[in-house]
Amino acid sequence: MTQNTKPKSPLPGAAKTSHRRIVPKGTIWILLLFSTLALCVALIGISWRAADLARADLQSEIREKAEIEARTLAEKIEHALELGIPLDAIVGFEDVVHQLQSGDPDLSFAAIVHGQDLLHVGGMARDAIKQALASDSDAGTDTHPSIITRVTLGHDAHNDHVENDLAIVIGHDRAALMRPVTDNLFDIAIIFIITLALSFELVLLVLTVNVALPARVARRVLTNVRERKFTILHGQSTRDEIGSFMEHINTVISRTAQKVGTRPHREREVKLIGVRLLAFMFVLAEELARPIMPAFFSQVTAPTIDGQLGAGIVMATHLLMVAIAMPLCSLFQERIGSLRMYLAGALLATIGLCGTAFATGLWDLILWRALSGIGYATTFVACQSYVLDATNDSNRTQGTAMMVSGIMLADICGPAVGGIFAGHFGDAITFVAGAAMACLAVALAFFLMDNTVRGKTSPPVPTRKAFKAMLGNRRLQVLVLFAAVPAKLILSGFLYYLTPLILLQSGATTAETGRVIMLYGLVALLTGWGVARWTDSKQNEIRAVGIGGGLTATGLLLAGFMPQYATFAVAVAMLGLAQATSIPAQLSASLKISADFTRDHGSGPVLAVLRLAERLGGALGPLLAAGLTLWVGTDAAVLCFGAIAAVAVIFFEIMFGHVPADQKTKPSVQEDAP
Amino acid sequence: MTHLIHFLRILTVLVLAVTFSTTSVLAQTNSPDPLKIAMILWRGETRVENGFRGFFADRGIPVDLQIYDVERDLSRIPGIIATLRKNPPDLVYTWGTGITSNVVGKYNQVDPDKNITDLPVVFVMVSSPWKTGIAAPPGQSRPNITGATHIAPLPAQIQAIRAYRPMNKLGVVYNNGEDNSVSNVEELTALGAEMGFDVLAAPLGQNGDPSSSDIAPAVADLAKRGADILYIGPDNFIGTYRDALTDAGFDNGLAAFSATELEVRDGQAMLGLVSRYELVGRLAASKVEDILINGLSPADIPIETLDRFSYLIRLSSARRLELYPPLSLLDYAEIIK
Repeated sequence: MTQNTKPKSPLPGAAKTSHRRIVPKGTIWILLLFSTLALCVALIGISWRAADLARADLQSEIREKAEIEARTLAEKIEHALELGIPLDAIVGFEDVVHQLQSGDPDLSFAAIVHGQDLLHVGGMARDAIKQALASDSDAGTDTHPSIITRVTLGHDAHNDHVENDLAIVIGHDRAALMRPVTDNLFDIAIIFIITLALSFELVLLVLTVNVALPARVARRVLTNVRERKFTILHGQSTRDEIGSFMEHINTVISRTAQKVGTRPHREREVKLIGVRLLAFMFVLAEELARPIMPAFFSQVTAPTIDGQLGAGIVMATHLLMVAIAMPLCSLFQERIGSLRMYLAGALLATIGLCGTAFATGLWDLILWRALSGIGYATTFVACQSYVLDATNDSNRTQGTAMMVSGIMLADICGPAVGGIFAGHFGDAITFVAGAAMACLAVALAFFLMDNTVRGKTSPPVPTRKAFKAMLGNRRLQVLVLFAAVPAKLILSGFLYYLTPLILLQSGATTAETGRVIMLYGLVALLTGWGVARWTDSKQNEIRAVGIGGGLTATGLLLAGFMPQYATFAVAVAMLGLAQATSIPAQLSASLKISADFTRDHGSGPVLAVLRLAERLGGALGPLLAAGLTLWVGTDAAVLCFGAIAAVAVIFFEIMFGHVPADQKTKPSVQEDAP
Repeated sequence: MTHLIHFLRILTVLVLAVTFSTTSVLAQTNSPDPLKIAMILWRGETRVENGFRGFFADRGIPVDLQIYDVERDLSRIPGIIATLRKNPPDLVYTWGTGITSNVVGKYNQVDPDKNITDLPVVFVMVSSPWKTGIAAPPGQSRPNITGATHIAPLPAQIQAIRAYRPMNKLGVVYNNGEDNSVSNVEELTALGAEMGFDVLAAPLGQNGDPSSSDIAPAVADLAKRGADILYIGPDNFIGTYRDALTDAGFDNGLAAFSATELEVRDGQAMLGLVSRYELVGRLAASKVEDILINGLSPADIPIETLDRFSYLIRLSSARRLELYPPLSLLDYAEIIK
């Protein structure tokens, strides 16, 4: 409504000028530009120097290694000569070089040289080695593509034609100097993306709190003035330009109110953005250890029970506790308040994660993971309630999206960072890092959550009859059973249990495993918006749910038939796209299907049913995955999950198609009718 | 006082002397009777018997070894068995497939009149105890027989040849009258289908006893047929005339691989994957210890081979043929100059 009355642009000419200007004028921009340039120059200089030092260090290491390899070859040749084998009759030099190469992939070639002649060669063709040796003597040592090492042979007694200049020459690929960098390129890229994401989070927080939020409040206050309502801004204490701008407005409004003969009210804007960072942190705390969970749980529970089954039980316990705790927390949220609930949840998560790090067996591990699950559910409900309480109908979707973005970001960053972290510091420390993150969230919650935010109206309580009618809705049943439950079952069973297990077993590092799991969140985040727009524009949520199911089944069957790293990456990416397509569509579809119910009793109960079913599916996933792994093995378990996904989507399509849309509430209507 | 001290000294010396002499007498009385072992040998004592003796010497176990050398003549065995029956030993030791087969008979054709059935028998140098019927088939056992075999598994032998040089055609000259040789060639032929090589067989003695003069033409024929290397298996006849075979090989540019040690160490075969004879003797001696000292039944003691083999290269033969060993083999092969 206010948008219609808002003046389009008070200064059109100024706007035009700002469009033309690339860099805004002013000292602050020059300083910013200068500092950015200085920072870039300094960073480039430091990086260059660091790379140079690393290269020098590596070069000496490679030279030492090369000396040892050349000496090994020389000893073999000397032994052969001592046995009386003529130099030109030596057999198998190339094989020996290949053996050396299998232990040192940077070794390019080796040769026995006599003066300028190559007597025996290995690793590369004779001409190529000749060329490499010739260019080594011509070019400078630093520019040559190979690092050449030469060891003179000491033996010449049994061979009249052998002179003292008989030597072993070996060449190493100069690119090996950059190998530590190239090997870690993925890790560097991940850290880069995550740093960007975290910077974005912080910048967004700072800008929203300090700029966007005050500007929005100011606009509302000024709009109020036009409607002869006098309100002053509250809570703005910064001394920068924004702060002085707010002070000026407050002064002007106070004076005007005095003139009119009234007293201004205080206006306060809730810092909704803070919840995004808090959601990000509590999910990150849990997600950090995601790539190592099955292997770690399996290892801890192995003395008591079969490791695979133990891991499945522990993961299922966690998800079950989340499923149980969420509705329970919703009941107490009103009484406790979001801040206290968040603090309690984050504290529980801290204890749970810390305990997990030092768990000694199945039973205490179950206890710690159950605590983590309760903590996760509590913090989730706290954030969700905070958003719901702090928003109204006009900005609720925006608020929810803000929280969901934080969660998705953590879903992306957590496994990737955790994978790198676990690779360097070990499994237990990764859980401790998660606990530290949850602990930090406790501290930040004091600043980022407004304790005055409370729900104003309690949700309408549906009658038992209405609730029964909603549950009796065939289309909702089909949606829940063949879309919502399988989606989360597959997510937890395949992505959280089988993928890390199979990848780690096949020799992938934790960092590589984390990268694959990260793909899920990345694809979901990148495609989510576009897919949602497409679904909205088509207004066909059921089709989107079906497509999501089909994509999941295809990806899983592909991974089941070809259980390789690349195929798993594709399957996980497809799962990300599938979930981005299906999950929001399920939400909208459930509300549309239950339109009769939601009209009278709100959307809360429908969403609660959907969420509960999803969480139960999520809890069942690892258990099923563990059971299938024990029964048929990991690869066949993936195939089974693929088959489940395929069957679910086929049943969904058939059964949904057979239930007429107008029949969805008919039985309940008849029951309700007098 | 001085007298007393002197008396005490004498007394101490006497007590010590009596104690020492009593102990030695007791020790002599308690020392066990030596183990009486009859050894029936093919061609006198070899390194196998050195290892056998060494095992007991290392442990201080006294043994009384009665040597019966058949001097490559199996017809002497019934006489030896008759002698053993008159003055039975604690255990009979047999050398080689021919002797063992004659002494104990085949597992399903035992004749108590001709074969030894009432004394434990430990055999050595039997290459294929199951194929030749000396050992009962898997799952069954013979009550009085166990032993140590000396041949590396055939796939390992083929890999050993191929580690030296490529091989697609394996030439085998063998005595058609020796069961172990015939079964060995059959196994090689079957293995050839799996490992991708042909066995070019040259059986000798198909029309009566083989002659050493048959060896050279057989080798020449194998060379013509494209053999890459000659194979010397567990064959007493070829073992006896090994030099005739290797010399014929030199004449035709063919190296010889041997599955037994002596053909490389004492003969001119160029390479071999072998059990060291001394170790085979020690393995057999450990079985004798189990039977005669630890009281185990031969039926409960497995017939087995060593789990490690030696790669032997005779450099003089390699030099003569100008087929030098690859560098990688020099790391672990035993080079005989």
